[in-house]
Amino acid sequence: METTEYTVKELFDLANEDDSWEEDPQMREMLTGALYYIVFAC
Amino acid sequence: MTTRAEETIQNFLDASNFVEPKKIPVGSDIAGWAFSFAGVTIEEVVDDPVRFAEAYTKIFDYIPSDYVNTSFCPIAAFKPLIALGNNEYNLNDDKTSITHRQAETLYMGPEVYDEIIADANTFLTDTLIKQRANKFQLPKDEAYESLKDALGKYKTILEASMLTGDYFAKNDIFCFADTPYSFYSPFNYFFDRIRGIRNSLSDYRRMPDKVKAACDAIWENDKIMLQLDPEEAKNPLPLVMTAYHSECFLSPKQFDELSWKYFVDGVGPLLAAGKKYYLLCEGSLMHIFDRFRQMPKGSMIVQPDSDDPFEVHKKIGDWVTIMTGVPADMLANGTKEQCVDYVKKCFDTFAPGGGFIFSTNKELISSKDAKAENLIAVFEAADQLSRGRN
Repeated sequence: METTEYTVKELFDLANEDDSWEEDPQMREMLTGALYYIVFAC
Repeated sequence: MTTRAEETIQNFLDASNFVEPKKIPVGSDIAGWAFSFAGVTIEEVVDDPVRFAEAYTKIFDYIPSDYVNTSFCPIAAFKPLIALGNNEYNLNDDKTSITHRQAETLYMGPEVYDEIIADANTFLTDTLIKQRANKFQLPKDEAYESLKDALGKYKTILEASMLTGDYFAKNDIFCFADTPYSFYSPFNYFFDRIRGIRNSLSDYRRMPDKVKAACDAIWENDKIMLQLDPEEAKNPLPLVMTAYHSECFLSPKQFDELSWKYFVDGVGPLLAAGKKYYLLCEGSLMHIFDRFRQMPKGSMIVQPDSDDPFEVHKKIGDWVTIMTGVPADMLANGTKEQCVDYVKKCFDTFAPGGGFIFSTNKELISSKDAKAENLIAVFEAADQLSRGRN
């Protein structure tokens, strides 16, 4: 598989800090945490 | 004052401790079928959290329920997964159930065993996710845009799940499997996601030592999730749960090597401390049920799937709680009278002395999994039979 210069976790961490797509930090944390678990587990 | 939900939890604990509860918990495991009962498809409501939650919970206005499996409706997560390039989960033709296209998945090659043995954590948290959600193979900026798209789609599902959770809380319906603690055997990673069913089983025959070493490496990485604070381990709830996948295909010896030994290591101490465990069986497991006697009596709640619950009860019903009640095929194809007679037989056989929780034997997934009139009659009968027993 082609390697990339970032890790999946790094992208989720970036999304957790980025208010451009979701202003509410609590909602961002819930969404990134839950979706990371889903991509890990599915 | 004790609320109905608190009473249900006490009834759950009593039932699993082989004390006949005041009311035997009556509940269900309903997924996509709920939408067809509500007269909609998932496709119609998946982008509207309010309509989604209203449709999903409508059936619970008709069937008396003390509990449901979970407040979260994971079937809707297919849209964010597709946004990330994972196309394994798709809506079926009925637009109400989800197909898992496991047989069409492109699995990884046998070389991954060495990679996992070398660094299981990096493999599981990065390499495997990039393989299965291929938008993460794109350059960083493009991958990030896909992630934001998926998060937006997932927000709708999260909001719908919060609304269904509110509905269950308002109606004092206990969501018993809402838990952060799960046990997933290392071999299931290979079976479900890394090598697929056929490859993983043949790998184990051809190179058992390598497969076992890779399973050990995964377990060393994963078991930390079950290393709980001693005080938390004493709490029966939230329970630890598992849905078996590969286990029904394994011989007793293979089961010991690939699943049970990790369970004993990770979950055994928690059950000894007081935690409860819920197992959703998939497939026939009569050949391994006797292992469960190694765990403390009353620590396990087992929901048989393909096995005859009356035979399961004969084999281990004095040791583990049986969660069962009516087979889905009878709900779909039987008469109301047949269904209600079966429910009565369940209560007559399983209820005395505790160790029984009423449920369907399988998750109701698609529109034809049950006739509504059968399901309603079953739950009305079960609710009556469950009362005034202690």
